[in-house]
Amino acid sequence: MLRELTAVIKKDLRQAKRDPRFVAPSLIVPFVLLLVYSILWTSVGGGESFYCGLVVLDDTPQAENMAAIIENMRSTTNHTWFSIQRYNKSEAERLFSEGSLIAYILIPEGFGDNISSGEKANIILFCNNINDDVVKNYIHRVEAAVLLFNQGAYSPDFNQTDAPIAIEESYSYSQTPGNLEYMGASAIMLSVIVCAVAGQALSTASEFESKAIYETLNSPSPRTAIILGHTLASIPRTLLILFITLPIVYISLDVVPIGNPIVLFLILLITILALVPFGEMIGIVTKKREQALLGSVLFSVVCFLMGGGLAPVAILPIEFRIFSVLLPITHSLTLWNRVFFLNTTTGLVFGFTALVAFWVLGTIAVSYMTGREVERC
Amino acid sequence: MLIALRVLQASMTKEIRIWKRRPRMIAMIIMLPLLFLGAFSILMGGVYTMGIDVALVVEEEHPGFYTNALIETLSEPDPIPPSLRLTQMDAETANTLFQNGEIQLVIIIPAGFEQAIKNNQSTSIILKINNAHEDMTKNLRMPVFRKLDQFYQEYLPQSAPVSFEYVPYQEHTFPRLAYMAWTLSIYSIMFTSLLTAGSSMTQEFENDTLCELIMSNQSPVSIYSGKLIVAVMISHIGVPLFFAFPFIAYGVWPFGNIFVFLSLTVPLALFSSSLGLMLGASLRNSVYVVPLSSLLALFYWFGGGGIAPLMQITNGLDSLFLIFSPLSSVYRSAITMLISGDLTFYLFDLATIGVFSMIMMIVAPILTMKIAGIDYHRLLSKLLIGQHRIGRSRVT
Repeated sequence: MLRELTAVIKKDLRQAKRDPRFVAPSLIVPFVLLLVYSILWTSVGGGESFYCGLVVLDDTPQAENMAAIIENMRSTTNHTWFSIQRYNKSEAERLFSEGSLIAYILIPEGFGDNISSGEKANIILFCNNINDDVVKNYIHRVEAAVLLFNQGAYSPDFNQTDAPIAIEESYSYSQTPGNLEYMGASAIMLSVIVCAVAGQALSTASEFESKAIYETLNSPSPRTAIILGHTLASIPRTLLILFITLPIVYISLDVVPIGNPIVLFLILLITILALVPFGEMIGIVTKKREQALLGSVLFSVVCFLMGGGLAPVAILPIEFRIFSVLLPITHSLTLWNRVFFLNTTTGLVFGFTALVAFWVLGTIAVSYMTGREVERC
Repeated sequence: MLIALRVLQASMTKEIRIWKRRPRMIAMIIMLPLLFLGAFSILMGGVYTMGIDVALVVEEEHPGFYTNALIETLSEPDPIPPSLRLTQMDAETANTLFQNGEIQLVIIIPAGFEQAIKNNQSTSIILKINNAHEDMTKNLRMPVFRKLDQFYQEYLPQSAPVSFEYVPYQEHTFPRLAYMAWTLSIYSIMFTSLLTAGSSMTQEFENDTLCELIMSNQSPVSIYSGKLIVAVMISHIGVPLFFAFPFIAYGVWPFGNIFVFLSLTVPLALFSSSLGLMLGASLRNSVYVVPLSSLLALFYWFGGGGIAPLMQITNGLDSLFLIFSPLSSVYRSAITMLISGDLTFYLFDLATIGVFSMIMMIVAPILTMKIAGIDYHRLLSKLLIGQHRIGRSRVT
């Protein structure tokens, strides 16, 4: 059994050396996603800065205080709240109606007088309500500015000590990982995911195309040795990709792991073991390299999105989280991002157990599918 | 001219037959954008429709009017998503769940809260937040700020001299997932046409059939144009599903009409399939074409305003690149039409994509021919040697 296992591993590694094209999708997929995401978060609004106009028609100190809060307020995490530009009223109206300005805030005349006389003073948010997410993001920020004013937390100190109800916040991480940092960490994992799935799917599909699979399956080697050999061979083949992705992510985003490197390595290892059977299944079902590749990209990218590659799935309500929990990639990403940004070993048992379960179940499924292939040939 | 048209028709017939033989491939191509929609629906649908799970710890031993009012305000469903789904628990349980990452936000109403408000003294509420991700942190904190502002406005009006008013630009506010489904239909068209044309080319290389096709003494322009047209046809198969989803899920239907939509997407599909043809000819292998097509289309979906509108763009070279690309112009006009029925940029954007697609349609077959780089000399020698061998075997 051990001899056959070694032979299968050697054969797979030789095949990978002869045709290293499986590396291409493992690099293209994460880096294009990273590029797209970088543009999204640095230019197209997102969490970093929301482009918004400000029109101040009142020249009282109260109005100036309100404007200063809107212009200078920062989150206690590290993102900017608004990218504010002051306009006069007619220009803001023109830009807004032309669609060049998605929202602007108006501090109307009499704002300060209303406050002085004990009447309610209003600020007005004009917003192009393209969808409920846009509305949410602008309303939340304006409402936070109003709350700060009502709490007497003015710029630049934003001191809430005299507020009737102040907000004290504490965080689980010493520093909030930025959207791009998170994506950088996820991109490393994504390259491993794609390499494990697509590499194995392509390898299996190639064997079907060259009909070599039938010779292998009809040989006296035990099926377990063949499947286990494929899985073990994929470990060095997949880990190789890290020599490219790690330096690129570090140079481009300056992202370095905070957690324990051994735990991170174990997460990568268990991820590869859990995902290779899925790659093999895709290869067996499709039997053609082009379809195997499309199937692998489809599986990897969709599961990556669903599993919290762009943002953690932890925020989802339990009814929706069930769908994500059924995917192995969710556990890999959860474990990876937790240990990448936090030096902890708590809360990892469930993820590790789930990945081992996926490995075992996947191997059983592959064994069954190859068995059917043997019967067919 | 007539022969060219017949070759075009023959090329189209051949392509349709080939694709009919590959139903699994077509299914996977159409499924990819649909699965994206499914993934985004799960990722965002839950938070937007049901809200986020929050642990509430009430340490106040004698909760009275203000404490109960705050709890009620916090737990009320909110028309501005996400709502907070409060579960009251003791401090220890909340802490354990928070440490294990099972709950992401804990709100603590401290002891003495009621008395402090009644006596006009300063007090506070405590938030424990899982700040594993910037955007998630924002989505956890902001609803609490909103609720506290609502509490100030309603129960502490003397401490809330300022309020705000929201003036929407349009009558309707569509759900974000409906918006994304409509924009994903454009992604689907771009991706499908890119990949279909690209795959058609790589298949010719992988099956060694391109040489025979070129040596058939027919116009390569007609042959390639046939591939383009079939790619455009296939690219529109999945579109109805992207409009059906928001209708079924939210009962919403976009503004505008189908003909205006098609007038933008057909040139887009022509442009993309021309690009796919050249991509297939230059890469010659599906290993590169599949991920590149998928991600190039995804790049323009993000960049064209598929996930967030382009008006939020701040200044920058990359933004200019996105705004003025012919592909983004399709997104701009289609989005404004679907969301508000506005066709202000339509003629300009139609002209832009129309001109670019015409240029690409003319240039692509010629460039593809050049990129494909058939070595006629080698090919002829191979054919002649083959015939010579056949002749010799017949003699022997």
